[in-house]
Amino acid sequence: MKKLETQFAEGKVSKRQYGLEKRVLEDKLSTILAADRIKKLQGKTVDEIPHEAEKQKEKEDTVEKEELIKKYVTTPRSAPTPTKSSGMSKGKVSLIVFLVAAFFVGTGYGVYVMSMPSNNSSSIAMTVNDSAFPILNNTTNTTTNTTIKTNKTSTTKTTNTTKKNSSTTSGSSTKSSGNNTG
Amino acid sequence: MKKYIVIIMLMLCSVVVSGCVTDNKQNNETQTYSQNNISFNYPGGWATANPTAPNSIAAVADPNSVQSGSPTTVVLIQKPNATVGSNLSAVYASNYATFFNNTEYQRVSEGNITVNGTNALENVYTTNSKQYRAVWLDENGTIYVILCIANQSDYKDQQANFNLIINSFKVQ
Repeated sequence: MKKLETQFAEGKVSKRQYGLEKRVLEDKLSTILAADRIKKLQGKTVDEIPHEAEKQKEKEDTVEKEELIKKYVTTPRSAPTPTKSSGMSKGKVSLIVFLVAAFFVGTGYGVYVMSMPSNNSSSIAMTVNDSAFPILNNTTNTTTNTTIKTNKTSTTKTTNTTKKNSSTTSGSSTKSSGNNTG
Repeated sequence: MKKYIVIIMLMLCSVVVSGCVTDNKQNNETQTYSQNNISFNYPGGWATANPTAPNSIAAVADPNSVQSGSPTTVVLIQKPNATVGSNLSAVYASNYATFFNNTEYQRVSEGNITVNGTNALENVYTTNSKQYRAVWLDENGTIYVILCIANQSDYKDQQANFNLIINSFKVQ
């Protein structure tokens, strides 16, 4: 047991092997102890010191085991750490990266547009034509009837003129030019 | 794999939350007009307009309401052709004695209201498509008319904006 422990401390024996052998030795020891107790109960004398032959056998066993271990069990000094594969293909990773980048670019642009002063609305030239007061419409229809009577030729000329945008309204006027009957 | 699901879920959450965000500037913020010895607040999304009617001193309008070149949602500030110190009721009565001769306008209601603790006169009338609310005020002996105009379909919804302007109107 002591030997095993020193070997383990020196690193000659792996932890797993140390555990296995320790368990085997402990089992053996407990069996021996149990046998001794039975013998004691039966009134027989128990050898405190194990026989030389047994000791020798034990030694031989351990040596044999060691040889076997040396022969077949190889413990790599630096075990290569297995690379963790995330289970994601390159395509999936690049898709996720693209989505994340698109998300941040999109939100960034949105924030930029929202924070921009809305100049569009104020730049529109709006004209208001309404008024709270009655709008004086100066558009009046003025009809001037001019009748020219010429007795000389016995012809009558009548002119009707309609004028717009005149503020004064003139009534009908008749202009007679002479009463020369010749 | 779990890590990626969490990231995608976070992204989805942020998109959903951002969809619930509104442009507060358009809704809550106000702008201040301060020219021609008057000042008032008006909605953040509105802009100043060019009034063509005589005696107009200021106009603000909603650019989103522009139809065939001119806005339909407008607030126009005017000063009547009355001498300083004229009686508000008399000028008001004189104006509307002739105003409704134009059959295009149809009277809806009129009455006395209080604006910033002072008495004012209000006249509501319509045309075929628009509704008008004229508020007549006497500030330091000078009469001002705040004419609020909107499409009949939009008139009720615009009352909050009209009230914002009327209640913040001050003569400097």
